[in-house]
Order: sequence, then structure tokens, then C-alpha cells
Amino acid sequence: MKLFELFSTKKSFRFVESVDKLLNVVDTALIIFKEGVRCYLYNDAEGFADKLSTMARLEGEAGALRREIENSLYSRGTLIRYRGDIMRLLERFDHIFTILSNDLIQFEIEAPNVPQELKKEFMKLAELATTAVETSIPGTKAYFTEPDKVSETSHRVYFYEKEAVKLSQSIKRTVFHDMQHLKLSEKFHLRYFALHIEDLSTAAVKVAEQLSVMAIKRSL
Amino acid sequence: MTFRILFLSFVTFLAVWPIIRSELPAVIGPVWASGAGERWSVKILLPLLFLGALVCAAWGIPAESGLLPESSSDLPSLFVIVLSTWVAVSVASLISPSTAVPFAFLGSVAGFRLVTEGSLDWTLVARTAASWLAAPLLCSLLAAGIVALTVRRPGRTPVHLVISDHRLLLGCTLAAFLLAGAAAWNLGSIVAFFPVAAFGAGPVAAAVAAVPALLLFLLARPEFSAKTWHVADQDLDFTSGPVFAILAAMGLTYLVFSLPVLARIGLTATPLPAPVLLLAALVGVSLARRKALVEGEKVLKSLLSAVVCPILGLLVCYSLSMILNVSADEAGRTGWNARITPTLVVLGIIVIAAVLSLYFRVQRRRDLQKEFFLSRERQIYNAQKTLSALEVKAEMNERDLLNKLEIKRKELVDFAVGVSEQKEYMESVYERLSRVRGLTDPAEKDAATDELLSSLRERMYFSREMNDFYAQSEILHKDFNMRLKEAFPNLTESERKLAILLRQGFSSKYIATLMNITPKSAEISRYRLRIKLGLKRSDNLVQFIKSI
Repeated sequence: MKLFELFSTKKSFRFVESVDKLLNVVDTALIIFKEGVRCYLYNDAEGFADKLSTMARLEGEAGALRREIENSLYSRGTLIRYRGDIMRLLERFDHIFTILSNDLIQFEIEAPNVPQELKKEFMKLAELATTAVETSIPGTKAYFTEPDKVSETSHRVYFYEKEAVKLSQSIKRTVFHDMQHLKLSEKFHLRYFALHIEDLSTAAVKVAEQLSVMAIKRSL
Repeated sequence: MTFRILFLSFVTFLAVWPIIRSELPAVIGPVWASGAGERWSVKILLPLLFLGALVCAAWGIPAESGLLPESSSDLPSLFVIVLSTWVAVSVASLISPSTAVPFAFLGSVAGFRLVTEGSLDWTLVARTAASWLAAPLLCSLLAAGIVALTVRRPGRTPVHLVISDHRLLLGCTLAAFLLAGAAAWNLGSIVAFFPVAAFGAGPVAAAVAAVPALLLFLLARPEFSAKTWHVADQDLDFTSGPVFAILAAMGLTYLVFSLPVLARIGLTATPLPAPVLLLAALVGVSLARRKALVEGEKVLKSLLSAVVCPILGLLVCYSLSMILNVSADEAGRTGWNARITPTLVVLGIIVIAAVLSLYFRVQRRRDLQKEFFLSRERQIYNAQKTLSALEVKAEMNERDLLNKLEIKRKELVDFAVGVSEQKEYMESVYERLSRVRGLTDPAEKDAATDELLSSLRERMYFSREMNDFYAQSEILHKDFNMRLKEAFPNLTESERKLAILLRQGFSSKYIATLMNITPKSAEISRYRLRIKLGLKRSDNLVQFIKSI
């Protein structure tokens, strides 16, 4: 009888596992993204292709986990007050995955011409943006266990996002003011890529904001 | 017998209505808020447990318990009690929607006993009143205690939200079963008072009494659902922890105040109102969390309503019993047939009052609806009017623009024609002058020169241009021309032309040039026009023309 399932914690532990797995997949995807950008910038075509395929596999894994969590949330009677918020949070992570995957694919398709002097800057930008997302992962874990600690991680996310924005602006300024040898189309292309990597940090801020609201709701 | 059963159905209807409207939402609301009711198994088992416990308690509870006397088959008496309860609850609901139906019922019973028995056991009344005070207090303390126990303290191992929520859901489900069972047991004493089995037909009469109750429940289901959702979504819009505390506190309070052991501490087992317990539990949770989860005004109003309910029930039941002559001696001696007549009279008055009240309410609602529709229609009419005005304006603007476009186009064509004409004319003048220069005979030369001069003079009159000018003015001032013709039909063509020129602000000098007359003649024409327009000396001609 389904009533007696209430006494079993098996499904709850499976749910916890799925959430943790999803967050781990996000973490791995961030590392792959960083590596992928590095491979592209330093002309390691083989490594880049490998990272691209790994990212596609991770995206599929994350999608499956997300569906599993969603199914578990709505088929069981638990977390009725939180399920909407948790789903929104998962959607935000899904958006991050989309950005990561799309950025790598765009690098592959459009093959932007990054000048030698900007390669380091682009790498730094990718690192800052991924760090912003990485910092939101402990915050997400804290929401499930110790919601009071969510705010501690949020300010780190905001910091990295600001740094990423600053660096992105600096890259754009350098491209448009100091690199007269580049064509306007090349300048636009570089700005477009800087903007896309910067989007990753903006998505991390959205996760942090969502987490802050959710933590407040848990205290009610 | 049929009449008695029908009467019993009516009494059941009166008794069940306030319970569906007030009591049940306060019991089911916390269950819905906790999420325990999402499982089908709970959805089915919970009502079964409630009804089962209610029936068992109704049979198991001693015939006389607390303020409730032994049930009797005296339907008119039952009617008086239920009606008094209904009136008391209806009046108290004006103060607060969280009314205390069991308090009103017990108050009515006390009023009835005062009339039939001549006096009341005041010790029992005091103990019941003390229980009524103690129950919300206990519920509040229990809720506060449970919240304090379940609050996570620093230093303890953190528990994952999913696990803690699962535990809370389990707790809430168990607490929901406890609440359903305890509430049914507690309220069972009221059910035991209803003399269903004493109507000879036994289960048939019970079924007849149950059917209207069921029908009433189906009828009131939308309102019941709305009220329950209001409790679950508005009053209890917070996490599962406090909801569990509320469910458990309410269940335990019901349980404690259903136990006969209470008599040992000077209290008594008594039916309790769910809305009051719910508010008390909310107050307890607020105290434990030091955060107001319920407004103070709402609590005060509910308290006032809980105080008013039994007092009003007592007074109404006492008065009704006196009217119906239900005295201690009469109750024993007079039979059903003798007592049913005044009961029916009262019932008739109540039905008439209820029908009138319903009629006026429906009428008022209709009036309000009519007023609302009228205001909406007025709004729509105004909007349509504005829209039409805008359409007309747009149409006029379009026409105006088209006119202007036509004029401009004509101007352009005329300009082109004029240029070519001028060129042709200049060429002809050039040829004629060349021819004049070549003439040797002075007489012929003079004649040719005169001819050329006269041709030039003719050209100076620019009659074609003037005609064009007037034609364009006609188009531009079409409305003005029409109005002028209508107002002053005796004006000549040249006078109308003069009026158009004056309207455009030309001075007499220009008018003279344009009309190919001397300035003096222009002045005279103006004077004649003034006379024809019937103007006085003090009137301004130009202003008057512009005002046409």
C-alpha cells in the first residue's frame, strides 16, 4: 500500500543523491568548459574536440537527472512548499549548461580570431565566469542542509561576477581602442564571445539571487 | 412518521450547515497545508477514520455527558436547540468568521435545560467554562512546545531538506490521523445527543437524517473547498514544521478534552471548536518563533465570537423555549401533537424571515449587478464615443491632407505649365522685337511696337493666374464659401471673392492688385460689402468674416 511508502526513506535518499549528482555534473562541466576554452585558445584542436564531446555527454546526463528530480518532486507528496523554487533553481542550472555547451559549439563553428595578446585575458575571463558558477554550487548544497549559510556564498558569486564584467569590459575596450589592425567584423566577433562568456557569470548571479530568496522562504 | 422524518431531516440540515461552513475547514485546512492529503490513501482513509470515530464515539459515549442531557426523541426540543445554535453562530460570524459552533450548541443546551429543569448545575457550567478557557491555552502551549522541540539548534548535525521534509510529512500524516480521530471522538458527544435511533424506524431514520446531511455537504462543497483552501493557503502559508506543530497540538488538545479523566483536575470533557483551536495553535507557534503568524485583531475578534456564541445560544434557546412553552411540567405532560403547533408557527416565521432575507439579498445582488453592468455599458459607450470622435478626426485629417496634396499637385502642374508658357511667350516677344528692329518704315515700327506693348499689358493682368488663385481658394475655403452663400445669398461673385481675400488677411492694396482694380475701388468694395453684411461702424469686417 502506498501509505506505507511514507515510512521508507529510500526514495528520499535517492532524491538527495540525484541532486548531488546533478551539482557534481555542473561542477565537472565547468572544468570541461575551462579546458575547452584553453584548448581552443592555444590551438589544441584534438583536446578541444574531446572537450566538446564530453560537454555534450554531460549535458545529456544533466538533462536526465533534472527530469528524474522533477518526476520525483511531483510524484511524491514531499517538498510541497519548495518544489516550485527547486524546479526554478534546476532550470537556472539548465540555463548555465546551455550557455556552457553553446559557447563551446560557437567556438568550434565560428572559430574567432583571438589575437595573441588577448588569449590570456580570454582565459582569465573564462576562469572568473566559471568560478562564479562554481561558488554558487556550495550555496545550493547549503540551501538543502544549512540555509543560514546561503548568504555567505552569495556575496562571493557577486564578487566574481563583478570581476568578470570588469575584465570583459577591459577586453572590449582593448579590442575597440587599441587594436586598430583588426577589422570591425573581427572586433564585433571578439566582443560577442566576451559577452557570451560574461553571460555565464550573470547566470551564476541569477542562481545566487534565487538561492537567497529560497533561503528566506525556508525561514518562514 | 413521514412528517417526523422530514422534520428530522430539516433539523439535521440546520445542524450540519454551520459545521460544514465553520468547523470542517479548520480541521481539513491544516491537513491540506501539510501536504499529507496529497496521497490518495490518506485522502480516502482520513474521512473514513473521521466518520468511523464519530459513529463509534456517538454510540460509546454515555447518554448523559457534561452539559449534554440524555438524548430524547422530543424533536421540537431538538429543533429549538439546533435553531438557537444556528442563530448564535450566524450572529457571531458577523464578528469573526472563526465561530465556535460547539460552544453555541452547548450554550443552547444550557438554555434549554434552564427552562425544562428549572435550574442548572452551576458547578458543571463553571467547569465547562474553565475547560473552554483551558483548551485553547493548552493547544497554544503544545504548539509552542512542539515548535521549540523541532527547531534546529546550532551544533546539531545538519539534516538534508528532503530528509527533514520527509520526516515532517510522516509526522504530519500521523498528526492528521490523530486530529481526525480525536476531533471525531470529541464532537461525537454532540452526535450522541441527536435521537436518531429513537424514531422507531432505526437505520431508515438514520439514513433519512444522513441523506440531507450528505446532500448539504455536496451543496456546500464549493464553499467548503474555498474556505479550506483559504485556511491552507492564506492562514497557514509557511513551512511544514509549524504546520506539523499545529496539527499535533490540535489533535492532542482534542484528545485530552475528550478524556473523562479531566474531572480529576476540576475540568470536564467538552466538545471544542476547531477554528478557535487553530488560532490558539497559531498564537503558540508565533510565540515560539517570536514572529507574528496571525494578526492580533483576528485573535481578539475570534475570542469575542467564542464568548458571544454560548451566551447568545443560551439566551435565544431560553427565549424560544419560553415562547414554545417548554416548561418542566409541560415537557412531560403535553404530547407531540400539542407541542408541534407552536413549533410549526415558529418554524413558519423563521422560514418566512429566511425567505424574505434571501429575497432581499438576491434583489440587492441583482441591483448591484445591474448597476455594475450599467456602469460597464456607460464605460463602453464613452469609449466608443471617444473612438468615433477619433475616427472622425482622423478621417477629416486624412481628407484635409488629401486636399492639400491635390492643391500642391495642381500647383506643381501649374508651375510647370506657367514656366513653359512664360518661355513660349518670351520667345515670341524676342521674335517680335527682332522683327520690329528689322523694320525700316517708322510707321510700321510704331504700329508693331504698340502691338507688342498692348500684348505685354494684357499679360500684366495675369488673368489666368488670378483664376487659378481663386479656384484654389475655392477648394481651400470650400466650407467658408458654402457658409457665406447660405448666410448671405445676395452677395455677388466679386464680393464673395473680396470676402475670401479679406479672410486670408490681404490688405486693401494687395486686394486692389489681385482684383485688378484701384485701391480706391477696393475701399469702396469693402464699404459695400460691410453694408451687405449688415455691419455697424464699430464692427470689424475682417473679424466678422473670419467668424462666419
